[in-house]
Amino acid sequence: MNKKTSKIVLFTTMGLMIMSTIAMGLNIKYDNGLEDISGSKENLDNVNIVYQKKVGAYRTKEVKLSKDDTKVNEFEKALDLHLPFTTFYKEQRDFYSESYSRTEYNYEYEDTIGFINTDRIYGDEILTLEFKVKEKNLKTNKEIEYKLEVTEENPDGKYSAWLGMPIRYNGELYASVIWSDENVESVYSANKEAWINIYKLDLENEKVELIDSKKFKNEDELVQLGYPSFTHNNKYYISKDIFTTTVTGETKVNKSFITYDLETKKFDSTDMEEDMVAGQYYSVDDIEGNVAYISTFNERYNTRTLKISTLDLDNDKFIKENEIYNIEVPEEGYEYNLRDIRCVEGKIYAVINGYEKPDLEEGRDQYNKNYVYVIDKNSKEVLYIGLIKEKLNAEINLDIVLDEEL
Amino acid sequence: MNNILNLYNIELKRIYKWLLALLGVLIAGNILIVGATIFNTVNEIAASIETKPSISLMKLQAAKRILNEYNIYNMIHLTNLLLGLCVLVCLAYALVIWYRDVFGKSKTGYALFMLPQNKMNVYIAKALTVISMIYITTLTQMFLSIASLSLIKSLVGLSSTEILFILNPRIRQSLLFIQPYFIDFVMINVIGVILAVVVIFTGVMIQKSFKIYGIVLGVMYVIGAVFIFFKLTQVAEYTEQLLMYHGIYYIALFLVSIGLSYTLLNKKVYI
Repeated sequence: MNKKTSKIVLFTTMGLMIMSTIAMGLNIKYDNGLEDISGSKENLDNVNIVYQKKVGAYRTKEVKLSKDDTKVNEFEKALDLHLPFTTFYKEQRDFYSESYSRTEYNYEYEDTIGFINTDRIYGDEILTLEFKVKEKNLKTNKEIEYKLEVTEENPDGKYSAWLGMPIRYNGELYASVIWSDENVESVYSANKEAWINIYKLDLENEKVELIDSKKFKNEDELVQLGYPSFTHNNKYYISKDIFTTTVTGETKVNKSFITYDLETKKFDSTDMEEDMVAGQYYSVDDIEGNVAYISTFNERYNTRTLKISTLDLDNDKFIKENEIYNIEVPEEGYEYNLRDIRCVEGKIYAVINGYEKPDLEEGRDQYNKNYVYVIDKNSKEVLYIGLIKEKLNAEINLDIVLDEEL
Repeated sequence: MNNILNLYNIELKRIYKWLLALLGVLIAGNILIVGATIFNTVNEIAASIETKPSISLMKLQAAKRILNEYNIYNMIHLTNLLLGLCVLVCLAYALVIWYRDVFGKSKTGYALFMLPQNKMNVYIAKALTVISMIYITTLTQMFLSIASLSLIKSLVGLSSTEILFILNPRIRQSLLFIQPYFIDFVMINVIGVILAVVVIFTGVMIQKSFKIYGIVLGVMYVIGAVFIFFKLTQVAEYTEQLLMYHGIYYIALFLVSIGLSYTLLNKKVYI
């Protein structure tokens, strides 16, 4: 091999490597827009659909879809899957990164934000709850961590505890914890007995005090607590489902919200009038002002309807229950589920994911399609359907965000 | 520059036959893997519809399903494994390239230690040799992957989009040597390769400078560099953090390695 050949080898190799790198950079530009299926994008008003997508190990892309345009930020600060896409959470991402994956565990008061992580430590006939509390003063940026424990009796180790939802009220920190027997009955994960404990967490003295408790146990019924639950001001709202079997063998569910007011120190109950089909998953995806929207969208019964109940948080009364919105899907052969929903100024904004049903003959991976729906809350008319052009699977962080929250 | 190219020419002359043999193994391995993929797919279809195996069966819908289920992914995975082994051989040569000078008393060894030659030129020429070897094997594999996917595409009638769609979610879950995303490719396949060679060379310089203890120190340096890389990968929770940590680490590691190599090469390295 002469010198000329070795030079050619070297420069060709380096040249091809550079060209391959450039080609890779230019390659695969995804179409990020919103394709109109019906209606006009104008119906999105001040609502944006924002999602982040991890592109390899080193880059997170963020796409913001609005009525006016599509904004793509190729290098965006990555946000944990469980945090909303608001400026606040982006700024405080590192603080919340240690919190367990639900915003229900977060709280804020005055200039302080915080969260509780609750761990269970099983012992001999006892169960110790370990509350890890972390707070940050937004003015001084000072962070403080506390660890508090409370030990409860646990005969035969048959009880478990979860959902340490915090509320800061009158300078004190409280946490609600759901206890239930671990002998789960029926396909709906319901229990023979369950109860709610309200604890006061004395951070300075590192003491935990049980201030109230309510137990649910009935011979002919099964109970399920906590799906879904939320806090508002000084109140806990914890879902309670009572499962009963009718003479025909059908399972019926009575749903209600157990409230606990830290001001009056009283439990109360807000029942939903209508019996529901067992096993339907309800979620509180949206609290706007003093109203909570409890929604369900479940395709298992081929209903393809969205049900929304509106709970007035000032009076703890349902204003509307199980309002039915028919969702016509643009394409058959997909399994649909609700990814996110918000009700803003008389309109419902929802992102519905369609997952292609497996087709063994066709033989390829299933496609995910995400549709944006805008529905008039009163007339129930579907004002807009749009398809998010980029294929997004379930790992994608997607959120409905208002202009003012961005 | 001319000196470096002269030395590079000497180094390439010593290894090009081995490099061609390595590329031969890579090409033969790819042909075998792709052949086995098509053979298995045809046999599976033939067994399922109880007919004689024939390449025309690849046109059936069932071929898409079988390829989609695991065969294409296995093919890519195996060819990448083969490439990984070839790259390991090249990295092993990063050690051999120095020790054959010492034990073989060769021309470059003579040039390095006896002539009034800037020793760093020899270092750079050797680094260029190993880096270009790895780049050549990587580029060859990229070409072979495109060729094999095109072959399957034409046999089965899958579109490029469909093949990409099959591969994309699975690529993310597997440790492939050729990174499918731009920045990852730059960080691992371009800069990462340069750093790997420089770190191994620094390990060799340390070993040569401190005699018997040098073996331990040199190995510790290489293992330490790899350990910190993976530790940073583990510590970084977010993509931009990982890019920043690795970026800073790459710069620091490069400067420390080159600085250390330069110092040791000029002051302490002995035969």
